Amino acid sequence: MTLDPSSSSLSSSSSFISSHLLKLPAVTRDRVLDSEGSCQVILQTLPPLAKQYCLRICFSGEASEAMLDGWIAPESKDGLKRHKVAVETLLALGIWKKVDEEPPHQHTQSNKFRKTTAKSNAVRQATYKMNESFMAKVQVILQQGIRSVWTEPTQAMRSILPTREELHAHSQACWDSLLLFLAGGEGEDLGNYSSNRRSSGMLAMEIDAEGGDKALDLEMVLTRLKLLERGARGKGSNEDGDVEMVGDGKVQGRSTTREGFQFLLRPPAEQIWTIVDEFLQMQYDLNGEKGAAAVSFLLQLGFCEEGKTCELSSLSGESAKGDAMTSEVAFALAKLGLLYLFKNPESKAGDLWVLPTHLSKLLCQKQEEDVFGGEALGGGGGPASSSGGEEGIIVETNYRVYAYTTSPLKRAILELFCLEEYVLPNLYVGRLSRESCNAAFEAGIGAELIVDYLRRNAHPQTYRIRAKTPVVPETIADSVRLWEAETKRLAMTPCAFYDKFESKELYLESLGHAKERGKLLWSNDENMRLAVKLDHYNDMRTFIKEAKSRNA
Amino acid sequence: MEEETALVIVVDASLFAWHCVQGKGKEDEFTLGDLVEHLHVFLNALVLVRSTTKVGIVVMNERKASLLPLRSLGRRCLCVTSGGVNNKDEDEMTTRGRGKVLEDLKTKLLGLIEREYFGDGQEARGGGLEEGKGCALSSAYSKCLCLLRRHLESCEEEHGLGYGSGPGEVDLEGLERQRRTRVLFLHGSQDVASQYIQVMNASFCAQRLGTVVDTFMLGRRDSSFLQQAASITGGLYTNFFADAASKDIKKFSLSTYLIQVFLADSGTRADLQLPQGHSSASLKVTCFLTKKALDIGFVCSVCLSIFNQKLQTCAVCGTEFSDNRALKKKVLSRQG
Repeated sequence: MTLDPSSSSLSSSSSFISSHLLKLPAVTRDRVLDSEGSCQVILQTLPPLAKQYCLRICFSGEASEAMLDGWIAPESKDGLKRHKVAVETLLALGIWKKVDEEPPHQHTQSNKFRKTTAKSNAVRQATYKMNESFMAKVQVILQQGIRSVWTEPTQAMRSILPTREELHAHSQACWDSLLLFLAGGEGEDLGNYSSNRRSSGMLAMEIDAEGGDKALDLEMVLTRLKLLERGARGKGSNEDGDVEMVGDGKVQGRSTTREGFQFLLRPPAEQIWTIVDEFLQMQYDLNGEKGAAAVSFLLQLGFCEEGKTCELSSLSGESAKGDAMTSEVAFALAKLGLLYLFKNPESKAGDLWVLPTHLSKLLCQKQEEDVFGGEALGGGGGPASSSGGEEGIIVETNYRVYAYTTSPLKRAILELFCLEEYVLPNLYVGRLSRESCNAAFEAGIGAELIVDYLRRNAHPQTYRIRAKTPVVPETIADSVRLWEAETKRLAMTPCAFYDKFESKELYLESLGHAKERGKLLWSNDENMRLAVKLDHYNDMRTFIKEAKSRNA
Repeated sequence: MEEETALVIVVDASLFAWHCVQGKGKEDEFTLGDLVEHLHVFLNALVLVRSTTKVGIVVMNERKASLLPLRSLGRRCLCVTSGGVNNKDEDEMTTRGRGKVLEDLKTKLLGLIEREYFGDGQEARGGGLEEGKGCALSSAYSKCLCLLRRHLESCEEEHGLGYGSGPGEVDLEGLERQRRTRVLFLHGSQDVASQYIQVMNASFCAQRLGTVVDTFMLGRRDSSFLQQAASITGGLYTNFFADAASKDIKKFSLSTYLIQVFLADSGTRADLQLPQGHSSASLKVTCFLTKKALDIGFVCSVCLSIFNQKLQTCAVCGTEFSDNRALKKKVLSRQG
C-alpha cells in the first residue's frame, strides 16, 4: 500500500493531505506555499500547537530555540512531546527552516575578544525562520480576512444542479462502481465501467464522460497500486505469455490481489487518497509546476464548504498554465465521484464550474477519525444514508450479521467474509463462520480489517444502544482474531543449526551471544545444540571462530 | 467528528471605560477604533486556525449589552436567529468577501453607539445600574451564555447524542472536545456591586456548561468579578497594562497579544505557558453594600449575599432575618 505510513511519526495525528505533502519534493512544496488558498488550508491541517506557533511568529518571522522552549508549559504531561511533533511538522513541511546563527565577527582583533565570542557561540542556539511566502500570505489573511473562492450557486445554476440527495447518490455510485469492480474481481471489465455507471441510475453529466476517461486510466492506477493484477493469479499457472489479448489490446483476466481485497475494507478517506495519490504521481512530475498546481487544487477542494460552487479557473491558482492541468485533474476527480462538473448556464463561454461532493470532504480528513461514520461507504443509499438513519451493519453475539443496505458493493464486500443466509431488498443477512473467515484470510484480508470494517459501518442504532460497549460484540471480534491466529499456528523460519560443540564453554558463549542479539530460536543444553536464525549465520560464524582462537 | 468550537467576545464600549483607558498620556493612547482593528485581526486568526469556529460579538455599554450580528462571517457567525443566517445576506457578504468583516464590524458598532448615545436616549435602562460608571457586565455575560447554550443545543441536535463520535467505543473526551466554548471579555469598566449576584451566578452557570471565561483588561483597573469568573471556569485573566512596565506598553500590540494568549483553545492551552492570573489578584469577597474586601462577613442564607455587618433584612433579596441562623457569620478568606 502506498499509504503505508512511512512518515508515521509525524503524521499519526495529522491528515492524509499533510502526509501527502510530506512526500513531495521540497521545490514543489515551496511552490504550493506560494498560493494563498493553499497556505490557508495547510495551516488548518497542522497540529494545534503548530498552528499557535505559526501565528505567534507570523509577524516577526523568526523565533529562537530558547524562545520556543519558553512557550511550552513545563507542568503539562505530554506537552513536550506535542511540542516536538509541532516543530518537526513545521520543519518537515518547509514552513519553518532551522537556521544556525552566523558566528559574528570571526576576524576580531584581540585575543580576549575572540574568546568571548567563541563562548557565546557555544551557548547560541538555532533560530527558526518562517517561510517568507507563507508568512506574507498569513499576514495578508490576518489583515484582510479569509478569502473564499466558494460561492453560493446562483438561481440559474440551482435550476440545473442536482439536489443534495441526488448528488450524494451520484458521487457514491461513481465511487462504488470502482470498488465493485475490485470486489467483483475477474468477471467484470473496466471497459464496461462507464456503461455500468450509466445503468446504475447516475446523473448524466454531459461533460465528464469522454474527458474523465481520457484523464484517468483507472485500470492503470489500480495495477500500479498492485490492487489489480493482470493475468491469472499465481495458482499453478504463472506463464506470463499466456495472457489473452483482445482486439483493442486490452488485457483480459484481471484479478484482484490480496492488497486489493484489503483495500476494499479500508476507510473511505484512505481509499480515496490512495487512488488520488497514485493518479497524481502517475500523471504529473511532482517536481514540476504542474505537480504543485495539482496539489494546490486538491487542497482547495478538500476545504470547500458544502453546497457551494466555484469556477474551475479560479481554483487553478495564479499561473495561467495551470488551467488545462486543473481541468484534467477535475475530470479525473469527477470520474471518481469527488466532483460534479457543470457549465454555467449564465455565461455563453461555457466555463466549467465545480460542485464538490461529500466525498471530496474526505480528502482533508484526519487520518484516524471518520467523519461520516460508516455512511460514506454506505452504498448508493442517497437520502437515507445521508440522514444517517437507515443503513448499517448489526452484528449479533450469535455470529449473525444483519446489514441494512441496498448497495451491491456492500453485499459484495460482506460476502468476502460472511456466509450469505438470505437477502431481502434492503437487508443482507449473513453468518460469520470459521470457513467464511478462512476464505477471507486466504484472500489476504486480516481479522483486524474485518472487525474494523464491521465497527466502522455499524448501524447507528448500535451506537445509541451501546453507548459505552463496543459496537461489535467482543466475543465475535475475539473469535475472528482467533480464527486468524489458527491459520498462523505454524510458521517457518530459516535457521542455522549448531551441533557438536568442542566444549561446554564454547557452547555457552555462543548461546549467550545468540541470545544477546535476539536471534536464538531453540537450544538444548544436554546435547549442546542450538538453532539460530539464518540471517545471523555469518555473524555467528565469526563469533565462534574468534571464541575458538581465544580459548586455544 | 470535527470539533466545533464557539467563542463569544464581549467588548466593553462604555464611554466611561474608554475615558479611563485613554486618559494616560499620549504615547499609549488607545481608542475604540484601534480596538476594532486589532479585534478584526484576532477574528481572522481564529477563523484561520479552525474554519469551523463560530464567533459571536457582544457589545456592552452602560445601559445594555447587545449582540452584533456579523453577517459577513457567514456560517461562522454565532447568531440568535434559529434558521442560521439569512441566505440572501450571506450571499451578498461571503461572495469573495474580503475585508468585509472589518467594514461590517465598524458599521455595526458605530450604529450601535449612535443609537445608544445620540439617539433619543429614552430607552428603559436595563440591569438596574448606577449612574455612569459601570457597564452592563452581567447582562452581557448572561447573553453570551445564552448564545453558547443555544449553540450547544443545536450541535447536539445535529449530531445526536453520542452518535457519530467515531468508530467503536463512544469517545466521551471527544464529545467534551467538540463542544468547546469560550467567552472573552475585553473589559475596561469598574465593577458594579449590585451586579455581584448576577455575575457570580453566570460564572457558576458557565462552569456547568464547560465554558471557559477569559478576560483581558483594557484599563489599568482590575475587575474582581472577572478574576473570580476566570478562576471558577479555569480561564485566563490578564491585565497587561497594570502589570507591564510603561516602556513595554509603547510597543504593545493588542492583536499580537490576543493571538499569543487567547488564540489557543482550552485543549491546547494546557501545553502552553501563559500568564497565570494577575499579580494583584484578590479573590476576596466584597461586601455588597460597602464594596470593601472582607475577611469575615455575614452571609444571607437565601441569596448568599455578603455583608460586613449584621443586618435585620437582607439588602439584596429582602429576607428578614428572624434569628441568628439566617444570617451566618463566616470566615471568608484566611490571610497568609
